[in-house]
Amino acid sequence: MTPASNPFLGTAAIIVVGIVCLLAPSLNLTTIDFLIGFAVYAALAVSWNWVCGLGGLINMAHIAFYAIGAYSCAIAVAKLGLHPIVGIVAGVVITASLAGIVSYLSFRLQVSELYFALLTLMLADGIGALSRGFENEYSLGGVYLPFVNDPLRFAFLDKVYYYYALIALVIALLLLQHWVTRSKWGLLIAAAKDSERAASSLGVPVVRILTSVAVASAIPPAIVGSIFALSSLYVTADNVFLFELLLATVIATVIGGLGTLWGPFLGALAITLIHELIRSGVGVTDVVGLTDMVYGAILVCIVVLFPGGLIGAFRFVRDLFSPKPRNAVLDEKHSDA
Amino acid sequence: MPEAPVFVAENVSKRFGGLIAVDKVSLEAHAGEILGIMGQNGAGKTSLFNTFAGIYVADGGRMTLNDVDVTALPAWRRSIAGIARTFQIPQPIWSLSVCENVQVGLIAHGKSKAESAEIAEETLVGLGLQAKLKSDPGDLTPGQLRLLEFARAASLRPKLLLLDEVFAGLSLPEQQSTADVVRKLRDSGIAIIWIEHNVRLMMELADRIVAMDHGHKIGAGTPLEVARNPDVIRVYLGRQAADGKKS
Ligand SMILES: Nc1ncnc2c1ncn2[C@@H]1O[C@H](COP(=O)(O)OP(=O)(O)O)[C@@H](O)[C@H]1O
Ligand SMILES: [Mg+2]
Repeated sequence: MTPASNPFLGTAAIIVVGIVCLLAPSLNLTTIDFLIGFAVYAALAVSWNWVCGLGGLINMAHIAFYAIGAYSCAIAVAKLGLHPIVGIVAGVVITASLAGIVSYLSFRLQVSELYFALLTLMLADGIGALSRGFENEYSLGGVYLPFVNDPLRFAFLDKVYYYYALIALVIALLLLQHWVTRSKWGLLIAAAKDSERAASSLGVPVVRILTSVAVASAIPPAIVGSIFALSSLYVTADNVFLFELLLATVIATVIGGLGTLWGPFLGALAITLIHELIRSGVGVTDVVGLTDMVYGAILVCIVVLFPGGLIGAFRFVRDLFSPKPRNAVLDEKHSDA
Repeated sequence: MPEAPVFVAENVSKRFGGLIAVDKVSLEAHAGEILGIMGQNGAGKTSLFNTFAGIYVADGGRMTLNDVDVTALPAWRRSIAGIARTFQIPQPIWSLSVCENVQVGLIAHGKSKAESAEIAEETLVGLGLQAKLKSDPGDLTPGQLRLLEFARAASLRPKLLLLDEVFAGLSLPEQQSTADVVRKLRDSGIAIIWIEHNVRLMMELADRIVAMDHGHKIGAGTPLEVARNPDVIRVYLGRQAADGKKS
């Protein structure tokens, strides 16, 4: 368990970090594409951590959900002339239903963890193949959105607004997670994930709880995909069904700290920085795949140095500077008894 | 017992492939009564509990709780309906504290987080675990883990409480305080079915006893009746004879 810190402190921390992130573009330290990349990774990692870290389900269809969100928004706007909100809602409904159906059936059929990972990977692959097929058949080269300035229809010439939207989403996700894990639902989810047998014998509807977690986790990637469609103005199977994006999401979550509040956020920041540093170091003429090798080597180092994730290193540093030992409160209680 | 039984099992069976772990076992549990179940290792006692609690799907037979058929209900619904159980091998939720382990069931049964914390604390203090409320289950002794199992089930105030060898590994004072709590629960009107290896303890605490062997019910009655039952004596003497040969 994480140490029981003051819940208001946690909320305040999320809000402060959120404000810093919102101010980042005006500091002009980096490009807007870098910031958007970071916010996309963060939103995807934080929400993937729900299903995998909190729910214990290795859902490999997370990026397919992102792609579905991108497609549904792009099709709604460019092909059907609808307000993007219709596309966003449609994307969310589709991904939530898919996640619900797949997890529920997996529980019913008592699919093992690894089979669930394989199943969702194949589902993602199937959806990717299907959309490539459609694209070849009907809309050569993908879906283009109009390049206009129409804020009421979420169309901005300046990309910074999409960054704001993504960061607002990340902050909302963190606040939601912070609140849920501290509520009674947090205990039910932990119990359901940890021991199906014990939890169900105590009256916890394990399948319902974990299916709900999977459904909740499938909603943010659809929204992120929609925002990607609106900001990049171009959606094609090759720019949304990205294996690297799935890999980045998983890596950010795992090296950050699976199941924790800040881990995936820190992990997303770390891999965005690493990507950027390597790119500026190696340059664009990377013929031998040096970028990937350096990237891989750095990740291996992180995993070896911080087995508990970056959040573990963060806590270690914090505890070095905190005057009071972690168990002081408990010790006082013990001596009372 | 003039009252209608709280829990009735009729011809309940459970098979594992070719092995019949529970073979057409029938029994009744009454409010305010401790029904002891004795039998050697592998007699099918734990499998019987798992079938009662809905962890296993029965291969035959029928179970009712207060005249409501629960045979088809999944485990969590049986818990909500009022069947609580302990696991012979403790199954704590390792990522939660001792107190939170007890809270989970109470929350699932509709209590608020604050209410659940209050009841959990009270239950754990009653079992002498006041110093361990915030500990990880990993810091508990095997005996304390059994007490935690017991606390989780007992705190739910079930209609039927299934206790699977809760006294094993407890120190004598722990046995005493736990026996007191079991008696109190019985006197509050809970029907208790209790699996126990310690025959002396069973004779002392149980109101009635069912003896099992190889999945069968081989005897039932008051402790004295069961102690005099020739089938029960044969099974137990057989084991003693076998133990004698070994040593
Ligand atoms: N999940 C299972 N799968 C296969 N066989 C089992 C399982 N559980 C119990 N058994 C077998 O069923 C029989 C009864 O076991 P159990 O109910 O644990 O007995 P007891 O609790 O009386 O010691 C044993 O032969 C045991 O090996
Ligand atoms: Mg047993």
